[in-house]
Amino acid sequence: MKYFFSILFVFFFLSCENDVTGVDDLLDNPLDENQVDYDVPAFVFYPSLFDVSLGQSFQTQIYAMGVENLRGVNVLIEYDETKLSLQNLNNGSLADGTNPLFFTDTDTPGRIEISSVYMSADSGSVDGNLKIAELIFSTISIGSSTIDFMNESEMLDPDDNLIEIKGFAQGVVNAN
Amino acid sequence: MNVIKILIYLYFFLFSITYGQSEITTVAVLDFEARGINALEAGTLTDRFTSELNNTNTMRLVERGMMADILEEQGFQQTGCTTDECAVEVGALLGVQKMISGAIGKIGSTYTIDLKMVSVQTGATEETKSVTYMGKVDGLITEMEILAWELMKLKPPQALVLKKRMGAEAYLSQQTKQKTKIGAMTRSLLIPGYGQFYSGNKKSAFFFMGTQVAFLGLALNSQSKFNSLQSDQDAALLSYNASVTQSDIETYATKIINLDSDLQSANDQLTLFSISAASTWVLNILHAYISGPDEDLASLPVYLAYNPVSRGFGLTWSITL
Repeated sequence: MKYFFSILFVFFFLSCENDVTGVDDLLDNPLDENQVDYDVPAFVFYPSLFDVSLGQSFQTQIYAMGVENLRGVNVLIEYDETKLSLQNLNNGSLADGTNPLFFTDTDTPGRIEISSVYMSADSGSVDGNLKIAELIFSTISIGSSTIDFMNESEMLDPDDNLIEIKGFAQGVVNAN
Repeated sequence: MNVIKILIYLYFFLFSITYGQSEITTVAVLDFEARGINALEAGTLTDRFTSELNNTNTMRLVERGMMADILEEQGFQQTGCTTDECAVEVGALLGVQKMISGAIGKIGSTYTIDLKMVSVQTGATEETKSVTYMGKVDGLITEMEILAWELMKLKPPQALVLKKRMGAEAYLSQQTKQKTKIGAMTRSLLIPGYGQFYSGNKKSAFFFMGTQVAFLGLALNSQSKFNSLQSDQDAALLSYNASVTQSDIETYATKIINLDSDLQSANDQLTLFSISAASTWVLNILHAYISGPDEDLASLPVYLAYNPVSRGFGLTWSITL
């Protein structure tokens, strides 16, 4: 019994150190301009990383990040339809009000198109990080897949001019 | 026979010259009278009493064998000499200053011991002691040893008092368990300072215990601080991940970075105090061994043994687990 306690004592000292996760590993908000590796304005999935079980659904939001003078967007998204199934698609906060200008097209498997326009009596455009839509997917087969913005996606100012999009974030799904 | 007689007288003469002029009292002990116990037991108890009396170093004792020879030469029968007058007479024959006589009695399961010290010169009783004892006859040995000191108006040694309190069997059993360096080391391995206590080195024991407790306390305090900071950081991280505006994100990111710095600091302190505690613990084990009880070579677990395989002698080391 003496030796048992002695061994415990040794383990006690050996275990007297905590693992401290580095800040860089902690700060992984996809909307954090100081941490992400893409420039703004950008289209971003928030959150962007999913570890889910097979058949389980998950939700992600589409953000226009770091925008200035934005009036409307046309977002094109593609995903692997053999691994993911779109369950639902909801309006975000860019197009709000009683009759929001928010249109979607999900007819093509593996592809989603969203058009959303900001309407307000106070101003004709909006700045910052803006939620465009919410997507709900479910996994239909095991494996890793991505959700991507297509380069044809657009951001428009009140004069209908294109705003240069400098970054597209990627969503990563790991179905177990 | 005449030669022996001359030698005895010569011894007696020299004994008287040597000790008679000094201040040390000469004493002889008569066989204690047996009342209810057998003479053999009474004789053994007298022997033990005489031996212990000698240990007090307060008088010169006439050896019992020598006393018997002298009395025999004088044609005196010690047996039956139980009165003070007889004791004085014997003392005079022996040339001693004081005589000790006594009786050991037994009533039921109770033993009584009555001792008396008589001045040979005056015939007066100078000291009497009586003890009543219940228990095994073996316990009388300890009682006799203590009486030897008390009769000389001395405080019995602590060991004898302990022996009486514990009982002879338990005391002797404890005495046979010799303290060892390995024993001290093993105890310090279990609890810092315990080995030093075992070795009787109380100052070192308190030092190691105190230091260990202090370092452990500081380490626990650092761990507690770390846990609190970790909890704050987890909360800030939740808020950071839930934030969608850049200002909120920056606010929480700054908070997380500051908390991370504090966490690193608390963790460094924890490591420092833990290593200090571990080092103290190791030092305590080494100290317990080095300053442990001195052992007889015979009790060391190292033996010189003949190895029949290699046909040579070698040192064998063993440790009891």
